[in-house]
Amino acid sequence: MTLIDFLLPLALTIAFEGAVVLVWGLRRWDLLLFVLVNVLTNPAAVLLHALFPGWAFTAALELGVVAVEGLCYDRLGYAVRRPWLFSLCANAVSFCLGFVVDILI
Amino acid sequence: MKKVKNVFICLLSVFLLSMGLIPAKVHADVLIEIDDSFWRAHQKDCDYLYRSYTVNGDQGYAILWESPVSSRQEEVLVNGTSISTNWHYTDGKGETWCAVSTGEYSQGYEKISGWIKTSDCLVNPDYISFREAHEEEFVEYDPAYDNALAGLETVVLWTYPCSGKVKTDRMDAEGLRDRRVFDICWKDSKGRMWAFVGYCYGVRNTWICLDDPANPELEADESVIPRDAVVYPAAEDLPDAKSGVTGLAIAAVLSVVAVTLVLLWFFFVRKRRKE
Repeated sequence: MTLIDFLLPLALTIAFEGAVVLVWGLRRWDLLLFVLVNVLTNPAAVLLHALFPGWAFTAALELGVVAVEGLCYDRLGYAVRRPWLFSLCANAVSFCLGFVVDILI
Repeated sequence: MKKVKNVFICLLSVFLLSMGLIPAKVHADVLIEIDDSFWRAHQKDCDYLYRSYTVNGDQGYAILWESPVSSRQEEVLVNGTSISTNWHYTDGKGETWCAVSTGEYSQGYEKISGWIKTSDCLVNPDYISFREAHEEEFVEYDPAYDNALAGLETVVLWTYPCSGKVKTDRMDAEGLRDRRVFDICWKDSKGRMWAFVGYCYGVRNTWICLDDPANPELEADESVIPRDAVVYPAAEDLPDAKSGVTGLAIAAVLSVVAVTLVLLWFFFVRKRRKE
């Protein structure tokens, strides 16, 4: 795996989830939290997916990501409304749009 | 207003999630579609063509990849392994790949074991190989053979002239009595006339010997299709298939996670305690 194999998914994830961030109204430090949380989870998720491909593990992995990010938003966020719901929605959007991009590429 | 916005976002998320769960519609046609994400994404760039190959990597083995763009290795195949495929793909570098068939099907889709470079294989001689070797020798059908199948109930169809490989020895001769099915002919070294049969009762791309149409014992002549390619010996020890993930990548990701955790602690835990 090369650097681009990690950077591209991370960039796309931040872009896709960024749309949810804008709608959800995150501001200031919560924006930094959003970026750091994705840097924390996305490369690790990409690595684990490469090591253990398969729909069952991918589903479990995505749920794990939602849980980790939800925990971060809940415990560390300054003004993240409904942090667990935000994590679920943001990851659902990025997962589905990523699926579409994968088909189109 | 905020409540409406939140509800909208939830509904949008559920909708997008459900799109990913809906299985693709199966197209009802004669093409054998395969259960592979790369093929689905590049179907328009893939050529539907059945061919069989023998693995012939220069190191004694060849790699079966997850896809032509993946670094993940599915399997390592030793030289001499026979494979078959219905789909070929040529990448931007001009390398041709084929989807290796497993012979199994799932929900109407053929399952494949991976993708292999055709440059790591030798194509098993077939009607395409024969055409490539003898196309300039093809002649038009000779009406003198109009009665070649008279009195016969069944005839023999071959993979190509002098192949020694019978495609079927029970083809109904009635389907071939119309001379218009023979538009390409070829005469072998023994003076026997052969005719190409593009399609007959479900059997595609075969040849019939017009001078001896019912004889299934016609001997093979290996010189008909010259084999110039180097045949590499099979390796005794095969390497393990690689997942595409190196130790360096794992170390890098762990480092990023560690640094990020430190940043999170610095900006969102320590800072808050001070406040």
